[in-house]
Amino acid sequence: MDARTFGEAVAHVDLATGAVEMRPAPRDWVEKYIGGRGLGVRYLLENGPEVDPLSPENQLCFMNGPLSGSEASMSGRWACVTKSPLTGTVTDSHQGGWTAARVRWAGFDGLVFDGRAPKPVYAFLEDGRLELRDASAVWGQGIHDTVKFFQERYGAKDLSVCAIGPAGEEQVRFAAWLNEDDRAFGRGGTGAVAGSKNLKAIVVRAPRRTSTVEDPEAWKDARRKVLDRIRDEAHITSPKKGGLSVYGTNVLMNVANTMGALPTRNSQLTAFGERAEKISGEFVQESILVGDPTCHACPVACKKEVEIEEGPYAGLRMESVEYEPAWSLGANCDNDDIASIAKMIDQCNDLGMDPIELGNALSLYMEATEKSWVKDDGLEWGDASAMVALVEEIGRRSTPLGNLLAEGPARAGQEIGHPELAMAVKGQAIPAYDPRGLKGMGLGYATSNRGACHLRAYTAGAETGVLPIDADPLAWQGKGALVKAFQDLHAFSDSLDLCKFSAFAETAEEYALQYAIALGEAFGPDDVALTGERIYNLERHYNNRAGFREGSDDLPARFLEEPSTLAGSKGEVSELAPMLEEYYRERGWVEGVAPEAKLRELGIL
Amino acid sequence: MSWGSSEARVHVSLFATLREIVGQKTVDLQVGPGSTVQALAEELVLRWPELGEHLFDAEGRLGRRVNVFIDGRNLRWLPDREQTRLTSTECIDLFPPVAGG
Repeated sequence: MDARTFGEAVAHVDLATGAVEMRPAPRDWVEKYIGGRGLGVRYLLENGPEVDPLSPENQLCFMNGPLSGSEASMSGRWACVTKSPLTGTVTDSHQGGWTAARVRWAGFDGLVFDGRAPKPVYAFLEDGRLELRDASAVWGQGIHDTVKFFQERYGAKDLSVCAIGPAGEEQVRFAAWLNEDDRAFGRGGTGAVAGSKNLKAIVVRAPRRTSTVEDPEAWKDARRKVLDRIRDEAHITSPKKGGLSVYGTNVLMNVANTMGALPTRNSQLTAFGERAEKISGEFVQESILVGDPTCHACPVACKKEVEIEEGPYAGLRMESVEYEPAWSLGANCDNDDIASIAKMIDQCNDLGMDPIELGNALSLYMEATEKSWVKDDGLEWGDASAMVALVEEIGRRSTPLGNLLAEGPARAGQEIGHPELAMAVKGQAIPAYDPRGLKGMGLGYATSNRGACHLRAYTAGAETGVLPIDADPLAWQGKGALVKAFQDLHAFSDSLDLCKFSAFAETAEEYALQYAIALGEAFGPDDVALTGERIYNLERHYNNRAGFREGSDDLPARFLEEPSTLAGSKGEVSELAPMLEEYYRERGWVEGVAPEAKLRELGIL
Repeated sequence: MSWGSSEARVHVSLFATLREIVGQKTVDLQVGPGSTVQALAEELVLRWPELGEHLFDAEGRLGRRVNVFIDGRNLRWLPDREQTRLTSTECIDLFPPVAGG
């Protein structure tokens, strides 16, 4: 494992014929786009932006980064990159756990799947070899049983299983991949693309390997410097001290609620009042938390394993009650029953679905029911047992309503004649930050290259007062530059591939330092910014060619026209138009289109 | 500390690690109408000294290590910041720097 030769071991798999060929990525692609997200998007662009996402012509890329699986902190990540069946944009999603590391240790920098297998298969990776094997025994099985099946077949030692569930097989448009039972390639419907290709799982067996670097002492010093920053008690990542380590991501619930930035009842409201406490990280920690699992090379351990002891879901032990699903299936649906939320997250982990998209589909139907716009009995706000039943129907497309909502909220809203009820951008639903209470997040949603997303820009770190950056959450001025800076920084870290939470402790300086030492070449913070900008423009160029042009960067009308009525953001709407003007100026784009001059300036064309 | 003769009650909610230090979710304090957020924080530290390192910087001012919200608005965006004067109708929320996603 050596960052200097990263990109040379990419397996190309023709699912139609079963042929496997190792082909190095073009050297200039690796130099320009690094790995992970950036390199994956470059493959997708080469494959052509015009393909039907659920056709054999779409490509499904799994890309490690040059630091994936290394000793660098938070390096247990890799990217799944494809054309999204949910949005029609290019999409990439990242997962933690150990699969990324083990794929690297098995001798692979990336896997590129083309075509469609004539029958269900899985890819088995070990010691530099990739074989397609018959998956008929696990086709139709949930992910938990699929993991058990492969652990029994191959033994659990040094084994990782990354699989789709019934939702992927049924091509639910927001189907996900899960590894280690619970860590997802969550967004964008990458699992549906796998289902369309008859690809059930990636199973990898590999013992731990260490990195080879030119200067081991410098590599050790750099990692120690980063670890010190992560451990610094002033940062939220500090093991056993910081909010993220003690409470998990759901430590956000109460602060978003306080700020009037917690979308509630399908974003009709901006806070969940005192009920937010009942679904918060603090409540989980004091009532149902039983463990703090972690990922490869991560001292933070933000995952939170819980056990339900009472009620209809007694005996359920699962991970992880994250902020996003606690919100999407909680406040967003007027549901304050944490046990039912844990149950539905576990259903998503087993069926293989994105709980953010799922929660938005449910809340859309709840609002339609409230307004008497549905033809059946509908779905009442906060009806947890009905939600749990419907999750199964959606994941298996087993009923007409399940089939409707399996298309995602944007398509379901169109189908029932009320597209305005879908809180989505470019077809992908919003996550847990209301654009009326966090103006930068709204601009981030609108300009995200994969549809509404909190992780592309994540200005919330600055707007909630965590990062040492002055960013008033209710001011729109300056958000264009802020969003661009974070989008570019995260495009780079997603390409290394390091966990997004590294950005709470690390800056471009630490990213550059680690990459430079691993490469044995000069690479500075300015190179991080330039490379991130190049990757972001590459994605935009793909989307422009896929038909996303002027007017595509938008927000649901609710955020622009219906002022918040609650404290923290009372009276506020999103001032998207002036923010977009500022943002396009910063980007050098013309109405959302990356012009040829910009693409040439960045070396994309 | 004396809050004066016309005291009012302020409702303070604590979150995450600050809650664990205090051992309770909320604290009701008597304050004078002209009292500031800085004075409120000093009163909290008198009662729970361990809060001090979380609330104040080396100069004894409310620092970046804590986010203080007054009716949902972070005081760092209020014109008088830590010198903002309190009234009895306000909800004060205290958070350590927390983020996730």
